[in-house]
Amino acid sequence: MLVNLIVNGQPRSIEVAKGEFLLDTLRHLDYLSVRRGCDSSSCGVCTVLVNGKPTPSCSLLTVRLDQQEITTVEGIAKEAEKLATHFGHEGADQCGYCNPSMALTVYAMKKELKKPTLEQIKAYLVGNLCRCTGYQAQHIAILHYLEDQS
Amino acid sequence: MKVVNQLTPSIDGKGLMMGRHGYTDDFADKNALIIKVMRSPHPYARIVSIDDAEAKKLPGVELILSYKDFERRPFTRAGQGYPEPSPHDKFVFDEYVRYIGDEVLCVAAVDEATANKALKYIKVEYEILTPILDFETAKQHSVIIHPEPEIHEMFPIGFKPLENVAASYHMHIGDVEKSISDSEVVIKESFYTQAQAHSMMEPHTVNSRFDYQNRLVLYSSTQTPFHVRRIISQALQFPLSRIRVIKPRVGGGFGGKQAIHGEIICSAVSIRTGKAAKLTYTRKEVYESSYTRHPMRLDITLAAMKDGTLKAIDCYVLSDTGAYGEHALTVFMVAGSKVLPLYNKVDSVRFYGDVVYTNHTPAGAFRGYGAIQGNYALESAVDILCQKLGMDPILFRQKNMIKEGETSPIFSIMGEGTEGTAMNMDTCKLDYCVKRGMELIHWNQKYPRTQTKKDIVEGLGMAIAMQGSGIPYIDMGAATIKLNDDGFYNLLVGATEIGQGSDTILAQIAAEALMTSVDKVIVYSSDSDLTPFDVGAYASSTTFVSGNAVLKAAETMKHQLIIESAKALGSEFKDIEFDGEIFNDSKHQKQISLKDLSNRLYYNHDQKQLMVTESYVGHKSPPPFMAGFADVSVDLLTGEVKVNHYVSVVDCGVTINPKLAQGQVEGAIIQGMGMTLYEDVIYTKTGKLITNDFMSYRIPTRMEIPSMTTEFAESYEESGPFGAKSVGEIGIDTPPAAISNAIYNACGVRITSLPITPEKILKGLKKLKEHSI
Amino acid sequence: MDVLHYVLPNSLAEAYQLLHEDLNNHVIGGGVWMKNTLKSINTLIELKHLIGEKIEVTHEVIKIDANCPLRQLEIHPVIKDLYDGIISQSIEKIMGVSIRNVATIGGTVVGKYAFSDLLAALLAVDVTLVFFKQGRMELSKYLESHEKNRDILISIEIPIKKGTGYFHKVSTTHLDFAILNLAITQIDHQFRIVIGARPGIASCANQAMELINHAKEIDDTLINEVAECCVKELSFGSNFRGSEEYRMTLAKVYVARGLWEVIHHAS
Repeated sequence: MLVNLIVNGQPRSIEVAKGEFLLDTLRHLDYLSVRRGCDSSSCGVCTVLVNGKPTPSCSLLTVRLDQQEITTVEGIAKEAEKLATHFGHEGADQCGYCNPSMALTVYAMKKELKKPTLEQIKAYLVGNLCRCTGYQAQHIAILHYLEDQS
Repeated sequence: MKVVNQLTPSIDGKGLMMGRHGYTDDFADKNALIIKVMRSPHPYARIVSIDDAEAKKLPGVELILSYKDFERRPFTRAGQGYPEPSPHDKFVFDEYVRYIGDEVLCVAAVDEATANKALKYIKVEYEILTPILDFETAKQHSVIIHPEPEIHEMFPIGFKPLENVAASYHMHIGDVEKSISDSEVVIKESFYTQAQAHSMMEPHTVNSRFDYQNRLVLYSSTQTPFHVRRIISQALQFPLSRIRVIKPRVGGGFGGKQAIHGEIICSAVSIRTGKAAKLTYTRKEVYESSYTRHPMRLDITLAAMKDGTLKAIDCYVLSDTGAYGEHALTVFMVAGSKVLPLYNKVDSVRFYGDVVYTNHTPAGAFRGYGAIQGNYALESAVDILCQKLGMDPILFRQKNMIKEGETSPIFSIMGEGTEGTAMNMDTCKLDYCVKRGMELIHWNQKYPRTQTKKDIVEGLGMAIAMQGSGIPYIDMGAATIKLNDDGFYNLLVGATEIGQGSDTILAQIAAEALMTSVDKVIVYSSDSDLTPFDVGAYASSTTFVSGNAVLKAAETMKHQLIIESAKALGSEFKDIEFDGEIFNDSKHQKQISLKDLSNRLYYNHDQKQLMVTESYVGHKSPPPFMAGFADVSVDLLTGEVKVNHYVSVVDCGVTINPKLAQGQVEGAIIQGMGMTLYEDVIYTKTGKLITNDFMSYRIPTRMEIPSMTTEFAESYEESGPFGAKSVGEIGIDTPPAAISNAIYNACGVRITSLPITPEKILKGLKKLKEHSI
Repeated sequence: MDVLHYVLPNSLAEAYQLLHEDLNNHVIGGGVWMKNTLKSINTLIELKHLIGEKIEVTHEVIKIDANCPLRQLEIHPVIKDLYDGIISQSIEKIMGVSIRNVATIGGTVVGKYAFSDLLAALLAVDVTLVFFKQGRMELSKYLESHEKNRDILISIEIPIKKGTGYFHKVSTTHLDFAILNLAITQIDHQFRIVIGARPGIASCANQAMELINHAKEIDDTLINEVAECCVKELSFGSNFRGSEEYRMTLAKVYVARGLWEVIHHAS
């Protein structure tokens, strides 16, 4: 089935099987920042934005997304870089496998919540698992990022 | 110091956050054959027949491989130095399958759907055998898990396969029985630890192809690229010189990627088809068919005098290595060697036991291996003893624990598979760690408990721990530094960045020694063709072993640079001062910049490439130490536990990168906390793992984490690069005992098996109530 | 997942007919759980163009289209306040935000998931379901029926009344499924007590509700009696998340705590 996606503002037409998930479609299209961590929609690693909202790309059938706007981390490069600066200062990045999905979710949170508290940040990001950092440094970095007006 | 011990963001953080390619799967060929492994549905069975005729007819099925396609050549997947201290008890495929999830055969097809379909078309008939699912009954069981005659040990490790024993060990110092009978207070307790799963975010994955030189090139998510290359060559009898293993960015390892996973099968497919191939584990395969922490039972006896002098430690350990013996002996050894020296003043110590085979997922390396099990048992036992002595557990530890300048006979007796190495504790700030931790957790105000709400009690607990810094006389790391025109450097290391930040800290070490900045040191790590050898990322060795190699290489490079600058300036070596940018001969008022010297070397005069390689092998393994303190709340009606605050005070020498070191400690604390409280491993009665995905295997989320305070003691280890010891594993050791002790102090319930679930606590509370009535 | 056909029917009638042509034809909601449970599907019936995702608020009722994602429900200002926000609270505890952006209320209700936190909260405020064929049906009735219901859910209606509420989920980690969940409301002076994930599906503790709703005076003794009653009348079981015995203890403790909170909040 032919599906027309809008990925990071660019129209992309692709022939997909009806049972294919967005994660696989995006990787076929070489958006390799979108990655798989599990098979049960429970780790957050594959998160992309669909019409601006964080969404598990491993669980969305591509055929349902005709004409929808998909954003991968490449589409928010400046914000990702800014967040990375704060992660760097706090030593909050380790293996980095989940960092693009983290950047997308934090970016969406910034748009959705005004001045979130630490508890709100945790609640918003709880679906993004991390086995490396112990989370605390991430939270400090995210708080700094949210305050960063540059 | 300008770079070392300074705030330095990781050199790769930005690129990774921005989604740049770099992980193994990003390098897989687009047309790679997809490999799927058929896995055993039985815990123990013999394959009677394989009917793959229908599957072979499927269009797109390229190759099906089973035990019939390989010579019987046993090896170990452990990913250790050679000869390995693990038994050679694994075949690429075998006629026998030994756990649910074991490899039966593999299919390589043009795409995943075809490969999966082919698996469904293959009929395998099994003779189902009686499995051993309880490791306490495994030794000398009537069922033998490894009856095959070809398997062997590489040197004596107590390997007795006909008794289901993969390894065994016994050591003693002094007369334990006598010390115990001479003591005034004796406690005895058994502890159980579970098969914790690494749960790194990137599943195990590998891809392979032949390049234009007709060499086999693999990208693998591995912690040990050089060992992987060697083991592939041995197992498949393929020339080592024709294999290149590239470790790209790795999405977490924690020991789970020290051992071989799909590399051999993937290589075999490429070798037989000449085509590119890839094998990525599903999350279920990661849980069921990679490796776990070794579950253990530890029986501890402690004997002391009434004044709190510890006289004897007696420790029997039974360890479950599952179906294969990866790291069977070494993990077992560490349960003693990196735990017992904490109390070095005892008259006698005994440490002995067996590592047995069972029909469960094989155990392997996992951050803090052995040490976390041993620490949980010993540090819990110490608190039990203190309770009986009526002594403050901190006073007891301060009286009995190891101190700077001291040693323990354990160091020379127990190594990892071989004898150990005697050493003095040139740096040991354990005293400070304990004192500072008490302040940060408000020990004197809050210990042992405070009632915070109706039904909620808060308690404090603590534990001390030690680790190592590489394996002396075994672990080798090497580093090459190359000068480029324009005056910047390449640092080529075999050391394996797996997310812990080793590329960054090795660049910092080189930059500090060369008096330049990190951006002038471009790191390339772990490519078996291009970088020098390194054993890999394990045993807390990278900062200490590989770091020392980098420091040596940088010093040699500096020396070479000064020689060349002296030549260029017509000066004498001794008259040159180098500040990282300018070579200055102030006596004769001559100078040249590094940039000009480099350009001159490559383009103008006396042209030559400056490139140096140095290696380092440790002659000691200076232990990092820490004290961990937990503040927990227990709900007396439901047994639910919350860790409110965790304090870590760590002596790891000088931290090369303080923030990354803190990240190592805190990440490890949370993994340790997961093992302590949440990460239950549950099998069905027939040996099938129930907890085989992120929905059933509960790793801590960001909602469970306590507030963490992490500090480093001031400490300078002479033998380490710029005073550093290791920090990768130490953080994981204390949470089980510290949290367990805190729970006891809060509510009087002592849990001796991990994880400590609310149900277990509630049962304990009910029992307490019954006894008090 | 193998999907043979993906169809956007022209009408609900057509969709209904399609659904009944083959047991392996399915209406897709958010699709998250479908992926975890179904390996192959004959026809996937898409209804996003026929059933919306709006939330409409009148004086008496909140009407929610079946395709409304859980996250929209969770952050809706009226729902956040209604009955002390128990519906929002129950959703907050389901996986992460990204899943809740996809999973729909329709999918949650039709799935009748025993582990569902949201169903416990919805049952405690007694919502009404509107089906294409069967018309209006109380959620409690729907959950009690054991028949395989192959109707199409169009919307859900939550009554707006004055009342207080309490929701609690017990789980090992935040992302884990409930060992037990419970929702308690006091609406129009009537208590409702719902316990789910026992591990059976959310149910009202009717006898316990009777006991407290007919009591002249509510004190600690009565609260304990009510909690005991819940444990006696509802069935509890064991799975790897928790034993029957532990679930019963949790139920007792949290019913008492919940009632106490609801009562003190109301006064």
